[in-house]
Amino acid sequence: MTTLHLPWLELSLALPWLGAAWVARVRQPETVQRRSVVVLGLTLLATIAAWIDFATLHAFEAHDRWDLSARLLGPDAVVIDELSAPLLPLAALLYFLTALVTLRTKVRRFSFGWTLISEALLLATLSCRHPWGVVGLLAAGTIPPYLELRARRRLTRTYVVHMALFVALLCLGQALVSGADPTTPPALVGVGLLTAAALLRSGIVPVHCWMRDLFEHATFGTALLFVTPMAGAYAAIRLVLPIAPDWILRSITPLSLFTAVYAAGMALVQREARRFYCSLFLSHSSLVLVGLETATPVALTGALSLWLSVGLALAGFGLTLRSLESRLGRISLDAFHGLYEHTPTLAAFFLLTGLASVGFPGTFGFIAMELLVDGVVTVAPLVGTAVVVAAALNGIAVLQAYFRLFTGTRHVTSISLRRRRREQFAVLTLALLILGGGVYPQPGVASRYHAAMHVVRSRRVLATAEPPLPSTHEPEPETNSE
Amino acid sequence: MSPRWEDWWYRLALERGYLDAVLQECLVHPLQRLFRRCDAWERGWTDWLSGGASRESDQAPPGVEILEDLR
Repeated sequence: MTTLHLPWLELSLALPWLGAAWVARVRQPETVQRRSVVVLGLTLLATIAAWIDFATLHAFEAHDRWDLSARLLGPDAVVIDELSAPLLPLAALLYFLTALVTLRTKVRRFSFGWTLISEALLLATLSCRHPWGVVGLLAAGTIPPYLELRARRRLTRTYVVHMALFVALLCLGQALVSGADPTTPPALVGVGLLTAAALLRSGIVPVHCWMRDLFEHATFGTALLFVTPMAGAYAAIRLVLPIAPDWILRSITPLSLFTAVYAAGMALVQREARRFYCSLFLSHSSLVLVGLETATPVALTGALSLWLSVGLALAGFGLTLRSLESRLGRISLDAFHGLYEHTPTLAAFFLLTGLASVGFPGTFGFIAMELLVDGVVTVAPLVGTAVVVAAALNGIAVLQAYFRLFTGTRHVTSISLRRRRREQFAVLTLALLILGGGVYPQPGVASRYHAAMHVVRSRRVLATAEPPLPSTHEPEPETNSE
Repeated sequence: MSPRWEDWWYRLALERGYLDAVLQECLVHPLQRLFRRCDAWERGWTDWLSGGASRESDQAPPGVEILEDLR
């Protein structure tokens, strides 16, 4: 068993819980924010250390040094592998930056304590490979947003109905596939239920309304952190892909594809910034699912790369919108706002992250989108065409929103709306990652290719019922830097 | 060429064959109408599911107090 040099994973899981206890009794919102940022920053450092440590081992998976959790919960409870290695720091980075750029206007409404707890649950989900562990943690992850909706006295029924269905589908599906031969009818029903759960959590049409509702009623930060790590895609890859036959995956591709195009079209007609963002995100997360469902090495590599690029780009895009909302309140897209003069940095970042999400050349999204389209077109040319149509509509929606928010008129205000230093740090960090991934994509793509090959191998084992191949590293696909 | 035809060709060239107008009328507007209709259906569905008005942003107040906080 390969082990890390230090227990980085357990440290990154424990820190948010300790942080939540540290801020629990503090009443001063600014103190709570300061402490939370410190804890989230330390957690980010621990996950980065785990990633670097893991990369130096050249193994497919690794456990913590001393591995205390394995003695209590089993060997698959806390483990890092090629799939989760970059997802852990990505998730920690999103939480850290969201807490960091929360302005005074939002500090009182944004619950830092629950944010710490939901980060702990998310990191535990990403570190867990035991199916029932993943099910339990995904179910637990739905609770913090519900408690926030309750605390804010907002309507919760839409969220509760969808999440209750999600948890029920997960539990029932996992109960049916546990220990069963994947080719038997009950196990196939179980796979179908798990697939439905993953689609629901990803917001696939027609079970996507909970996501719009969440963005409408929860704080922007909470909604952003609940959807951008793409827990639905994670459920699909951990619980569904290893056991689902090809015909099940192919039969749900049209749904994901329809969602990608439909949500992109809906982004074009939204009149409010949060709903616009939600539509844009739905479209992109559906594209990730299209790649996962195609389940060929190139399409899977594209989907996993797109997962990272969309996570970075749309989180940055969402944080920009949130920063604007902190200054102006809910933003209407019906009128021009002319904010460029006041916040040129945020305007540039809005454009960069929006275009990166649709695969603009020079950004990490470009490589990811190319791989996805290339992988999907070889299997189904029409599906590939629809992916391009969705990306084109998303690009138009992003530019339309940019013109509405930053151009078209002169915004007159008596106070300064310029960017704060913390926002500048967040913008520079994300911009560096997005552009760095575009200029030098090979390490990221290679890592995603290894993870994709592992999934493909496990599916071949399912199809042929042969013992698994040794997990050596495959030759990597070459990508040209921009 | 008669002056009437000259005018017609001039307008056609000036408007680049009316391509933009044709795309607007035949493609963009019908799609926008379709998606707006879908948005209205979604609103109706979430209103019913929530048991109340599900889109509070439609009545969002101006951010006066927010601007005060930024000072």
